[in-house]
Amino acid sequence: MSINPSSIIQVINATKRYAKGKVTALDSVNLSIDKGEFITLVGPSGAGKSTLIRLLVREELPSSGKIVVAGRDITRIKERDLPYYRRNVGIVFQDFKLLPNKTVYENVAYALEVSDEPDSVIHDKVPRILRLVGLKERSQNYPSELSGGEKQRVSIARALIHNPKLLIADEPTGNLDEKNTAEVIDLLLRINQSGTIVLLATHDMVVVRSLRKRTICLNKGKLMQISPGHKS
Amino acid sequence: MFFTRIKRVLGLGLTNTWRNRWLSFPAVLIIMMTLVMMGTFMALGYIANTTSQALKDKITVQVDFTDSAKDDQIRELQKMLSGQAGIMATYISKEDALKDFKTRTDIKQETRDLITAENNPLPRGLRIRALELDDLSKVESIVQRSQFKSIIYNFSYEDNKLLIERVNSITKFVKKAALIVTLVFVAVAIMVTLNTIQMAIYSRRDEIEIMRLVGAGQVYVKAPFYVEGALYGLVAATIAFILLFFACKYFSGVSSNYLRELSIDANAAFIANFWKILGAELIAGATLGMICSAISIRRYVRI
Repeated sequence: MSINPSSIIQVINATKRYAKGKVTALDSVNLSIDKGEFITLVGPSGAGKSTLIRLLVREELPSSGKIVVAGRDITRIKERDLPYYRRNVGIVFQDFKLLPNKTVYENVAYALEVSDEPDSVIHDKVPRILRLVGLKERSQNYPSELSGGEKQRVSIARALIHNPKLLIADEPTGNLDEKNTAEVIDLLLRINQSGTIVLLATHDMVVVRSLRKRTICLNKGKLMQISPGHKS
Repeated sequence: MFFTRIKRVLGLGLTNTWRNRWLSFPAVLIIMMTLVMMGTFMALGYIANTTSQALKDKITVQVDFTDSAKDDQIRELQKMLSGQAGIMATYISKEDALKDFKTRTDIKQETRDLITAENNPLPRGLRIRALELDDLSKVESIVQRSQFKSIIYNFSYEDNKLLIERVNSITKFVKKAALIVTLVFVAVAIMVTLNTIQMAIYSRRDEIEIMRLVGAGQVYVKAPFYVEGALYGLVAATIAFILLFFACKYFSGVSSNYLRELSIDANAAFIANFWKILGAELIAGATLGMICSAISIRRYVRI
């Protein structure tokens, strides 16, 4: 598949092998993502979706190939510069990954605190983002006091606090009921409309069909199918 | 920015310690036990040292001279002995010897009455005291020189030699044993503390992963754990200090029953060194907690 050199994100011939090369999680994957795109990533368990996400967040390095984000090969980023890169990539997980001993406000503010943002910016930004995800009234609650949907919205708020160029959502509705799923998807669409690239990994074909966005499918580590008729 | 970082790291450390207080409890307990044991061993070392010093102070040797000994010969020997580092020789005249004899309670009154100032057969002598028992052998070699042999009537070192050597070897053994036991115990205690803090951090590895994923740098991931480690140590040190204080109070009473005149007023010694002991406990606790946290966190922080 061809790579569009003007794309914001380019995955070029990325292969990832584990167990000393015995297991291939990703096999020569090529993928381009343009500015403002909303992409759904589907595929059965073990297809390589999480591996691709880990490579995009630079949690892991590809065994071969490269990943270019905004013109920069992220496989070459030095360890000490990784936190700066990660502040430009928001990530949302199925299990929310909230800090259990921090309130909703503190969970979101934490991402700014560790970026050395001044207190005035934190006091201004956090309430605004909590209002955006509809959790202004729950700001002093702990994660254990929230519903699944609310937890996921906190997770999205935290991912958005740095105004990232890319928001990766790894099965964000996996633990949610129908109503909360619809709310979260609606939120992701609104985020995308504001210009953020959204990459949504999901098993839920109902969600995929309802979105009618570019869909890429991974199977056994290979990028198998792209629909509906978009470029790669 | 530097002060903002310091403020945030301290704030995160304090908040995390408080909110994870039940998780912190075993670590605090182990550090506290370590400090109590270290304090106890140090106190025992101090007591052994002071007791042996008190015992040594009671050991004196005496050289008695014949009546034919000339004053300048005696003074020469006194000068030679006092010239040695750590040795003190005091001249005992016939009058002094009589005074001492009259105060002795282990001799019957009738016997004491037999000796008077007019009829005083008690010899002149030198009472010799050494800072270290080992130094007494130097005294022996000087006293036994041929130039003094003819004027010496009695040298008590020879009578007490066995006792002195035994006290000396016991003191040395106790000191060595206390040092070895302390070192072994401290090493074991550090390993146990390390393990306990490692378990506390292991149970929070998800938290560390989240920190990394939201873009926290090394400072924000690691430093709050150092602060937590130091706080465990400070809390543990305070408790250990209080326990040691009461232990010393109790020991003072017990020791005076058993050791009598050799007993040490541990309570007074503790109060006299109150700030030194508190400072040492706090520094040792905070350092131990912080080092153990630093070692533990290295295993779980991969950026």
